[in-house]
Amino acid sequence: MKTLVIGLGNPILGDDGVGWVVAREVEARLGGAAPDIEVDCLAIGGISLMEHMIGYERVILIDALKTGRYPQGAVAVLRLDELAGLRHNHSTSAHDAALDTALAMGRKAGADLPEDRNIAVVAIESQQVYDFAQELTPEIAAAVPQAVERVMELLGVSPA
Amino acid sequence: MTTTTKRITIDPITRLEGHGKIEIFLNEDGNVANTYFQIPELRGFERFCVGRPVEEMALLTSRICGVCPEAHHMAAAKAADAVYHVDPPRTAKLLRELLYMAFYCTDHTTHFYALGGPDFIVGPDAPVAERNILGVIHKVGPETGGKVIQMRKFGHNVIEMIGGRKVHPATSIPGGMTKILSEDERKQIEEMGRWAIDFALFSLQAFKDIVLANKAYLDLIVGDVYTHRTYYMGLVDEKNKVNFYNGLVRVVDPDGKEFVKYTASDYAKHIAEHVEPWTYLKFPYLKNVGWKGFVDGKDSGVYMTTPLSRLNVSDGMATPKAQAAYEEFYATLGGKPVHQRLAIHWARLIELLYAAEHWVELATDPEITSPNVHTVPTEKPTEGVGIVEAPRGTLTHHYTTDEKGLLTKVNLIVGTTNNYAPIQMSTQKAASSLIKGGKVSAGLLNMIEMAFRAYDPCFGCATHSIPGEMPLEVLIRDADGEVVDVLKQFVD
Repeated sequence: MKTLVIGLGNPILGDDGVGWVVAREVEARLGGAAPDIEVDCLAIGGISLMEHMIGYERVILIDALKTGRYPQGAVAVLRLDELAGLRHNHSTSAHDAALDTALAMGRKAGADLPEDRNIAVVAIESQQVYDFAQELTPEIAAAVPQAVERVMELLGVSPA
Repeated sequence: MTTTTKRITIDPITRLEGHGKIEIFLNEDGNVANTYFQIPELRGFERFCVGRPVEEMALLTSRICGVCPEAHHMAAAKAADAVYHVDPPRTAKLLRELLYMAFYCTDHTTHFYALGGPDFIVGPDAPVAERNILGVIHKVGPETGGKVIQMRKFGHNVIEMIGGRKVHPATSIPGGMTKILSEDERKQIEEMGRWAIDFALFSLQAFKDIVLANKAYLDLIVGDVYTHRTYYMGLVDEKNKVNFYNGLVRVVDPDGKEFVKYTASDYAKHIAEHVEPWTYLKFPYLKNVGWKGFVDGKDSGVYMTTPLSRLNVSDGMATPKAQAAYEEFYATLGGKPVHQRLAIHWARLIELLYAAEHWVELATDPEITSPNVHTVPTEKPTEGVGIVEAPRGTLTHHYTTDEKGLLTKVNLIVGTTNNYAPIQMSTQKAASSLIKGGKVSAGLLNMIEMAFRAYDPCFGCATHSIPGEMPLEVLIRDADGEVVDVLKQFVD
C-alpha cells in the first residue's frame, strides 16, 4: 500500500516539533527497506496538507496535540473517520480549511486521495508549543519512542 | 444598601489554552462598555535568534508560522542585504519578486475561497456547515475547487523553481540568489502566469456576480458596523503604485492625504508600540500622531495595513487590468479612501489580479534568465531593515549584528501586529451592535469572527484552528463584573 508518513509541526517551536522528531526516527528505523513507504516533515495544514496526500493510499500523521486533558507525553492513535473536525492540531490551518473539508474539496475535484479510514493520526499530548526552541521538553522527548512504536505498528512493520 | 462591584483583573500571565478569548464588559444599561480580545502569542523569538548568523534568518523566519513563510523569507533577505550594505543585481531582485508574485496569487486565492468567500458568497446567514470552501464551490460552480487547486499548484511550482522548495524558499542569500532561471523554466512560469491572470479575472467576476449584485451583501459591506476611519499604511513604488516587494512606506490620514512617506531604515522614527496591562501583545501606532486609545480619527495614531490599506495609500495599480479594477472599486464605494473593513475582501482580489499580471511581466523581462544573480558583499555587517508587504500587512525585519555577522538584536513587526489595535476596535464595534440592553443577539460569534477575519490575521492560536472554526471563548460580564453569559466555539 503506497503510504506516506508525515511529521507535522514547527521545528523551532519547542514541543510543537515532536512530529518531526518522531517521523525522522521512523525513517531511520525503516532504513529504506520499505519502498512503498515514504516519510516527510511538514509545517502545514488544511488544503496544503490535503495536496501532499494526493497519490497515496494510506497516510499517517504525527503531531503534537494540546487538549489539556491528558498527561504530558501521552500518545494516542486516532483514525480520521473517528475524529470530527480535528481542531486542535496541525491538520487545521487558520488560512484555508480544516483537513476534512479540504479532503472533501480535493475528492470533489477528482484528486486521488486516501480514504478517511486509511488516514491515521498519532498524537502526542504537549503543552510547550508557544515558545521558540529547537529542543523538546524532557516529558515530550520521553514520549518519542512510544510514538515511534505506534507508527511502526500502524505500518505493520514489526518492532526490532 | 451598598452595591459591591467586582474588580476583575485580566491577567496576561495565565497562559491561554490555545484559543482566543474575548472579554466583554457591559455597562449599567447592558450595552458594551469595553471588549478585550486576547490571543496566545508565540514568544522568545528574539532570544532564539541572538548569536545566529544573519544569513540564517531567511530560512529561520519562514518558520515563524506556517502562513506566509515566503513573506518572512523576503523581508529577511532584504534585511540581510541591508546589514551587509550590499545591493543585489537586478536579476536577483526580479527573481525574488517573481517568486513573491506567485506566492501572493496562492495566498490571496486560498484566503478568498476558503475564508472570505464563505462570508459573502455563501452568505453570513447560511448554516455553519455550508460556510466553508465547499459552500463556495457549490455556489460559484463545480469546477471552482479544481481551479483553486490548480492555482496553488502553479504557485508552488514557481516557488520551487526559483526558491528551491515548494513553500519555504531557500535560495536568497546576502547579495542575491543562489539559483539561475533556465529558459525552459521561464517559459513554464510565463504560461502559468497567463493562466493565473484568467483565474484572477474569473474570481473578480464571481465576486461581482454573487456579492456586489446582491443588495444584502452590499449593505453589509458598506454598513457602519464594520467601518472605521483610521490611518492607512502600505508600500508604494516611485510612482506611488502598489508594490509588495519594494518601495517606500506610505501612510495616509483618514481623509486620504499623505501623512508621511519613509524609507525602511527610518521605521523606528515613525512607529512606536503601546502597551496594555491585559495582554502581552503590543499595539503599534504612529509616533508623530500619538496614542489616544482604541479610537478612530485623525488625532488617533491607530493605523491599518491590509490589501485595502495598500489600495488606499497608493495612486493606483501598476498593471492595466488591476488598474481598471481599482478604478471600479473606488467608483462603486464612493471614492478614496474606503473605510469599510469588509471591502478588504474585494481589494484582495484586485491585488490577486495585479500579482498575476506582474508575474507575467517579470517572467517576460529580458534579464530574468541572466546568470548575474549575486553580488558578493564586501563591507562589514552592522545593522539593517528589510520591509515587504506580507498579504496581511507591512512586514518589518530589523537586525543588528556584530562584525562577524552574528545577530545581537532582532525586532520584527509582522503583518498582523500592525492591525492589533484596529482588530480590537472592529471586534468591539461588532460586539456593541449585537449586545444591547443585556441581550445578546444570535450570530454574535459569527459577526465577531467576520470582523477580524477580514484582516486575515495571523494569531498564535490561529495556526491551530480554521476559519469559522477558530477556537474562541467569549465571556460577557455585567456592570458588576459578574459573568452573565459564556459563548464558546470549539473549546472543550
